[in-house]
Amino acid sequence: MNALSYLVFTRLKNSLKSLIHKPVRLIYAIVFLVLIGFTIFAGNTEEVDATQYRDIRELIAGAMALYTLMFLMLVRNGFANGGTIFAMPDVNMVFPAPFPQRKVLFYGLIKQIGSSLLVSVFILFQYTWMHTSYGVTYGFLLILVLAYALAVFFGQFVAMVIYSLTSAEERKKRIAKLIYLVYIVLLLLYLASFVLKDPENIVQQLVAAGSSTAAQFTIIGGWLGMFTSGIATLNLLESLLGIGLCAVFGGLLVLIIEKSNSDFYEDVIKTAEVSQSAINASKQGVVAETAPAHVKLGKTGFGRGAGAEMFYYKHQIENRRSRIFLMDSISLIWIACVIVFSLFMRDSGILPVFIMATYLQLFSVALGRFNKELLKPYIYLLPEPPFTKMLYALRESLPSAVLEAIFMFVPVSLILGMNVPEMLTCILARISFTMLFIAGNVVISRIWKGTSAKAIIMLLYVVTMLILAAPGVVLAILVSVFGIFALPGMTAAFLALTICNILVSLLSLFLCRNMLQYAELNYQ
Amino acid sequence: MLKVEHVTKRYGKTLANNDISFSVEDGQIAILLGPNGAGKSTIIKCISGLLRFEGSITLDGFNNKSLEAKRLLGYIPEMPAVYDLLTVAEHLEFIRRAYRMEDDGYDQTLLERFELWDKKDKLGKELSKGMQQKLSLCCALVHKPRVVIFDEPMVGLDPHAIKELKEVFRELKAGGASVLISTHMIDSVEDYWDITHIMMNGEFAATKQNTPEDLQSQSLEELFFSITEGKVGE
Repeated sequence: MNALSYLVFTRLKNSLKSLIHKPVRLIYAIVFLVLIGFTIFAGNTEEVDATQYRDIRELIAGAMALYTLMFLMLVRNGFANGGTIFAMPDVNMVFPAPFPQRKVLFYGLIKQIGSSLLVSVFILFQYTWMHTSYGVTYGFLLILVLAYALAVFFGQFVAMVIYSLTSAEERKKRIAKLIYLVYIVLLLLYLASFVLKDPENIVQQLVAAGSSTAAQFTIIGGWLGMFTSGIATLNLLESLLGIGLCAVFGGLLVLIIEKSNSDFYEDVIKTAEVSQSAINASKQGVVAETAPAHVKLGKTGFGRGAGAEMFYYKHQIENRRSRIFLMDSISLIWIACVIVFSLFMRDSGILPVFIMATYLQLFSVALGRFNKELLKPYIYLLPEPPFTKMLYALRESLPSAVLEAIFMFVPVSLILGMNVPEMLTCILARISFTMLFIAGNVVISRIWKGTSAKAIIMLLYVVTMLILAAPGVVLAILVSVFGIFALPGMTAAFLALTICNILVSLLSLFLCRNMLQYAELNYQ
Repeated sequence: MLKVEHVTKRYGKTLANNDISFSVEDGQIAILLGPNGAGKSTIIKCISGLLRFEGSITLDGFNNKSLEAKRLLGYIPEMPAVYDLLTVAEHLEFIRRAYRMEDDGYDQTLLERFELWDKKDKLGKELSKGMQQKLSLCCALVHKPRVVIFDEPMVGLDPHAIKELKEVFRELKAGGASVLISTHMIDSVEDYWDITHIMMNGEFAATKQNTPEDLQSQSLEELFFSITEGKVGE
């Protein structure tokens, strides 16, 4: 066995061995397998008449959109630091070793396929609804996972190639960026041309656009769509054509790397260093600042404020300089997802849409700059009451939460034909969930900060959030069932939910206020 | 005045500070001297209110966790505490406003003394380690604290900043502040100290006053090495 193969297999073997030495990981692996098993079991117990399945082309079009989105998002890294195919140990040990560069490149690519597969496992948990709605089998689900992994892999690889070709020359980089943007605009125009044909049936039009021949020939996203579509419809030729195009594209990328730049090592070192410093920072409990390379200073000075509110004004300045505005791109994606989901759920009312939106929100609410603040001494040293400091240090999250709720639920309300009170209370309920989840994050930081296993933290996170949300949900159900208030539609339920969530949030924060008394509570 | 009484601090089973008691009077400079791992930073962090502990710590009679005590305290951490996205001048404005202090031009004075005024519009992340340390010092002093705690303040500073810092020590002393400096560099404390506590294994191994009588028998350096190299009592 040559040295690189030895490295790949030994790392794999050691990561499996670590399951035995670190029981937490083993428990996580078991829980993971049990959950997968449960998902399959739950999906298969529900008997659905095959004639009731939705059109599989909808699912393929959705998957294609997801692959394209992931691919394009990862490709964008090529304009900044390149892909993350190699890590710092590779740079220090593999690069200087006497290996041919081509072998090193393949070693990196194989390693990357493994990592891409790991990030794709979340799709496995989607079995239940995919099976009941589209009749998806577990075998086909694995194909969807594989296609997603390939989209991630190609996104990283293309980013590396773009960086390698353009990093030395600003002009080349600008041209590449322009091509990238033009490509995205063309894709959007293509979709718009379908939607405008029949604006009443947006979903059908989007599915038609996704199933069209032109869409199937778009780079990676379309080819992977063709691959999965071919398997779903048992069209072997289509499937082979899709995966074949990906293979040819991969070969072409290898060729470009080899021919255009005989020394790609330099191009990946910066990314490897950035990744390594992020890993080091994480180990030391430091939250890295996500500031752009060239910060535009803008107006300097505070000119207002006193006491604990200075944290809020400081966060405003920091957000402006790191170009984080009221809503980030992830929020916009979630908003789009919920709006699209509501199009599918036109006949089911607001409840499933609100549940879906809250489920997504559970994993998207973050503490913003609060966590960074905990790692500096000033928040502890400042002579202000801890609860006040906590509220001001968290305040920056509120304006974006309000805006996100409005942008999300005004269109949803129009699509679902909700009345105004229902829409307004729905927006309030959404904002209250943001507050609740932020408070939940603080509770997690306060109680479970010492737990280093991410998997356990995730489990505790979900359980904690469910516990915190329970009072509001129960109250909303009671109000609905007993019709306590004579208000239209879901208005009373949303109102009850809002009030209860806000009270639980404030109570949770108040009980955690002493985390700003001792820095010790927040250091691992 | 800073008063530490019977403070014990444990990290799990590790005893970092064991029943430590001492005080720093108004207008006094006290030094905590000791090798790495002696427990100096731990007692400093306990005094600054960052760690939980057994015992009692008071600043001018106020419990160190109270808002009154926090108002009196200035703490300079070992690692510079600088915000990446605030300018140098904004750091001082932030602290001044957060402590509800009026703008009397003291922030500019401090920045000029530590040669940071020409860099007032530079971001924290653009500063070198030494400049970050100087900024961290200015942040701790801008609200004019009465009890000032320095944790290894000389590390990373250039000769001018060290000279200026020593001048600041003397001014704080002359102004009646209680100053506590933790260090493992004997040379850096020189002659401006009033009392030095030598720490070993989380305890005070010896205490020396800066008086001719006390120094006559043994210099600070001799005492330090006799303790840290295990020659006590020989």
